[in-house]
Amino acid sequence: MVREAVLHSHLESILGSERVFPREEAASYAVDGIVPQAVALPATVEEVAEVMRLAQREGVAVIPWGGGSAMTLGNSPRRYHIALCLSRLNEVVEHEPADLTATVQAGMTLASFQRHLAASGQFLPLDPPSPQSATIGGILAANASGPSRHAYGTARDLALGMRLVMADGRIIKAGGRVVKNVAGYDMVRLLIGSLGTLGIIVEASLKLAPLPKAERTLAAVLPSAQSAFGGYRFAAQAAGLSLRAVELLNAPAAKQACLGRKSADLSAPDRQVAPLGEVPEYAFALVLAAAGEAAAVERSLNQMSELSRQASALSLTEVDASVQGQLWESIAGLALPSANETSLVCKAAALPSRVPALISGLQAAGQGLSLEPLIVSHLTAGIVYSIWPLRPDGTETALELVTALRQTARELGGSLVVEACPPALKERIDVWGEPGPDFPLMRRIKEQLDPQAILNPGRFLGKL
Amino acid sequence: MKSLAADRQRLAVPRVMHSERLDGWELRSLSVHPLFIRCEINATLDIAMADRKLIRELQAIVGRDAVLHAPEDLLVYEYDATIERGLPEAVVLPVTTQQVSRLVKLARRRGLPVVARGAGTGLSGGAIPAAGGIMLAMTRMTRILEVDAENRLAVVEPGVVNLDLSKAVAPHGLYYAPDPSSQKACTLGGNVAENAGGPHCLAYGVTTNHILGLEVVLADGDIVWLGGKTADPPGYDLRGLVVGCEGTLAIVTKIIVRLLPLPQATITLLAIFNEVDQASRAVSAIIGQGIIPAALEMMDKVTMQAVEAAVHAGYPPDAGAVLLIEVDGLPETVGPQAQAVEVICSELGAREVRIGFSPPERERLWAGRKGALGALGRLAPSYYILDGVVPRTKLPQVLQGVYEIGERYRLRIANVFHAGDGNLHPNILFDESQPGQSEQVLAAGADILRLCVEAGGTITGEHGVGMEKRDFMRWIFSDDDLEVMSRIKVAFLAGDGFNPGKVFPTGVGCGEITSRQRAVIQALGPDVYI
Repeated sequence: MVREAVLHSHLESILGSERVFPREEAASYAVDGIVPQAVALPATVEEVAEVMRLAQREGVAVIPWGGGSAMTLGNSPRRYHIALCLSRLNEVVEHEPADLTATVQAGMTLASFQRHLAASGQFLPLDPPSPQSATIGGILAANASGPSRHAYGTARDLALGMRLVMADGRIIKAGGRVVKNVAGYDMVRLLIGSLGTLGIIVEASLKLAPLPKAERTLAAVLPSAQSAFGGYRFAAQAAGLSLRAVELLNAPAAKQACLGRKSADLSAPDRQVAPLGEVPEYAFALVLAAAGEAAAVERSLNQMSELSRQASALSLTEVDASVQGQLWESIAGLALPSANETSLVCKAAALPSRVPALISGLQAAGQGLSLEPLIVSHLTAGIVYSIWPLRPDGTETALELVTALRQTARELGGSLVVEACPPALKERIDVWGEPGPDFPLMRRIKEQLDPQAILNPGRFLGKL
Repeated sequence: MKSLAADRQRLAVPRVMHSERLDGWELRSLSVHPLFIRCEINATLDIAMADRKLIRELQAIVGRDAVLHAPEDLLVYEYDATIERGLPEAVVLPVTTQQVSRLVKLARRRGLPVVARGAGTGLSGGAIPAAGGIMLAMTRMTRILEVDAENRLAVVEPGVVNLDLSKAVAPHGLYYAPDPSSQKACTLGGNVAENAGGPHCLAYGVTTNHILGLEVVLADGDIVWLGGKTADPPGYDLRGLVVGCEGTLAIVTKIIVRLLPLPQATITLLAIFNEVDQASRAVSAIIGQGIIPAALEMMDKVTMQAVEAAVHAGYPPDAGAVLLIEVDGLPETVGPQAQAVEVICSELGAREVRIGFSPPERERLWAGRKGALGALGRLAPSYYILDGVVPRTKLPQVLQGVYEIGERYRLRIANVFHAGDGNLHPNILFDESQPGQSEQVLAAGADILRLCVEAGGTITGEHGVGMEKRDFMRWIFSDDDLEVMSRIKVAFLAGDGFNPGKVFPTGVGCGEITSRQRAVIQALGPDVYI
C-alpha cells in the first residue's frame, strides 16, 4: 500500500495542489467515521479517469462523492483512501428543450439542474431529499426517489444514457441520448442503484417532463390506523385523478413535516410552514398533490375530498399554494437521518395493498421496545420509511429493532433496507438485508467490472 | 395477423438454390444471395448427422410430443420476421421452468447452443439459431398465473401473447401498455428479450419500464428470480440487464408485469400534410411545447398507398404524409391537448386535421398503421425495415436525408414510424431477383443508420441488434464500451450458450470460440456472422 504522503503527491501531480485535500481537511468526507487519506476534486472526466488509473495502480479504495447527502446509505466501507468528489463536474452538457431531454454532468446539484430546466418550462421529475446538495450522479447511483414517483416513476424510468469512468480508468459510454435505444445490454439500469460500486457516473442523459400547469395540495386527516387502509383505497380508486404524489404520514411525521426543518425535537415550538390540520396522536395524514391541467386538478381535489369525507376524515385542508413547495420538500426530507441526533432510518417495501399491515407491524415492533417512529409512506409504491430516534448507546436496542422490523417486512412478502444507522450497528448487520439466490450473479458482475474491489468496497449488498 | 401471415409467405419464398436428400435429411445448400449469406452457416454444420441420442434425451425431459426433429418440422422454426435463416438441430416445447432448466443443462453438457423463441415476429433475427443447436419454443408456456388488480400487476409465462394479456385484464379496468405492431401474435417473453416498443410507448415507456421481475434459467441451469413484485429490491438491477439482452444472458420463464389503468378518455387525430417535412416539423413542435401524446405516428405517401390498397383504413393516399396522433388520459386533459395539437399542426401547414373518429373508424386507422409493414408487400417483392432513432428535433433533416439516400441508390423508401419518439422505420422496397439490388439495399440501409448515428441517435430503438446490425455497434460504441458490456455476459457465465451470434460485433463477447464455430469460420471465412 502506498504511503499517505506519496498518494497525496501523486494526486497533486494529476490535479494540482489546489484540488487535493490532505486527511487533516477531509473530516467532512468521512463515511461511517472513516476519514479518507485524501480528497480529490477533478474538474474533467479525463481527470476522474486519471485518478482511477492511479487508484488501480496503487490498489487504493475510492469512494465517489456527489453532494454527500446519502452517504449513510450502505454498509461501512471495507477500505477508504480517496474521496473522489465530483462537484466540479457541474455543467449542463446539452439541453435541447424541444427534445425534452438533457445531458448533464454528474456533479451538478438537482436544484441547480431544475433551475436551468425551469427556464424552458421543464423539470426532471425526481424529488429525492436534499435537492440543494444531492447531485445528479449521486441520485442515480443511489436510485434515490421521492413522492413524485407516484406519477413519474424512478431514475430507471428516466435515464437514457451515461458516461462512466470504470475502476480501471476507462471512460465508457452506456445507452445514448435518445428516448428509445435497445442497442446492447442496458448498462444504464445496471448502474442506477449500484452505489458507485461498479463505475463512476460522470455524465447522464435524462428524459425530462413539462412543468405541470397547476398544482394543489390536499391533506386529509384520517381517524385511525385502519383508515390508512382506506387511504390506500382512495389512491387505488384515484386512477382517474391527476395525482403527482400520494403520501401517508403518521402524526409525529406530519408534525415534523410542518416544522419544515430537520429536527428530532418534536417539542420544539411549532413554526408551521404549512398546516396539515390538527393530527391527533393516533391519526394519519394523507397528503396528496394534484398536478396537471387546472380543471383536472380541481376535479381531483374535489373527488379526493369527497372520498375522504366518506372515510370520516377528521379534517380536510388545502395547503396554501405559497408554502406547498416547501411542504413537499419537507415531506421528501423526512427520511433523512438528522445531523445532530442518532437515528435509524429504515425503508421497507411491500405490495401497496399491504402498506397498512406493514405500518401496523412496524409500529408494533417498536412498541415492544417502547419506541415510536416517524412513519412516511410512498403509499402507491408500497414503500414505508420509518425513522427511529436512538440513544447514542443504543446499538443493542437498534439491533433488536431491526431484527423485528425485518421479520415484519418478510412476513408480508417485503424487504427492509436500513438507510441510516450508527456505524456500530453496521458492523452487526447487512444494511441491505440478506442476499438472495441472485447474489452469486451480482458478485460476478462486481468481480468483472471492479476486479480489484477499489470502488466503494464493502458498502453494497452482501458487503460487495 | 393477416399482414404477418402475408409477410411470412413472402419471406418464405424459397431461397435455397439446391436441395438434396441425404439419409432422410434435407441438406440445405448455399444460397448465393448476399442478404442471406448468414443462412449459409447451417449448411456447413453437419446437421445431416441425426443425433438420435440427443433426441431421446430431449424427449425424456419434455415428452415425445414436445420435441420436433423431422426436417419438415424444423423448417417452420428456421426464420423469424427478418431475412435471416438458421436451422436448429431440434425444437423443444417446454411447459415448465424445471424442464427449461434441465434442457439448458443438457444443452450445456452437449456443447449445443440454446435459442429461445416466442412467436417469431422479431425484426432483428433474435429467434434465429445462427449456430444451430436446441431451440426452445416457449409457445406452450401460455398461462397467466396471477392477476393482482389491486396492486396492478400480473405474473405470466413467457408464451402469453401481448394482446391476450391486455384482454385478460381489461375486466379489471387495466391493460399492459407496450403495444408492438405485432401484438396480436408476439409473446411477452419475446418482448422482454428484445425490450420491445410500440406506438403507445411514447407516453408510457417501453417494455423495460413495465417489467417488475423475471424468473430466469441461467446458463448453469439454475433458476432464480431477478427483481420482484415490490419496489426497489436491494442489489444490482439484473432484471434491467436481462430485458433487452436478446436471449443471450438467460432464458425467461416467468414475468411479473406492471399493469396500467385504462385511460378514461382518448382523442384520435389525423393531421394531413402535403409534405413530409411539414409533418416532421409538427412532431418537433408538439413535443417542444411539452405535449406528450400517447402516440404520435407518421406515415408517408408510399406507405399510405400500400395501406389503403390493403385495408382501406381511411388514410388519404394523395397526401405527402399524415400524423396519427392519440392523446389519452383524463377527460379534462385530452380536450385541451387535442386542441393544442390541432393548432400546431395547422400552423405548420397541415391541409386538414381530422378529429372525432368513431370507435370503429379509430380501430381501422390503427389496423392500417399496425398492418402497414404487411401492406408494403403489395408494392415490392421484398422490403428491408430499419429501426434508427434520432433526437426528435432532428427528424426533419434526417427524414430528408433518408429520401435522398433512396434517390441516390434508386430505391423506393416507405416511412412509417414512431415519430414522437424519433424512432424511424424506413422500409427499403426492392426486388431481390434483380441482380445487385440486394447489395444496394444493404448499403442504403447502412447509410441511413449512419445518418441517424451522426444526428446523435442510435441504430436500433426497439427491434434489437440481432445479427444484421452487430457490426454497426461499433458506430455507437467504442471497443472499451463493448468490452465492458461483454463482461456482463461473462458474469452470467453465458458464453455462447445462449443465442450465439447476436448483439456483439464479430470478435467481441464470444467468450471462447467453440469447435463448431471454428468449423464455420473455416468453411465461410473469418468475416462470417456467427
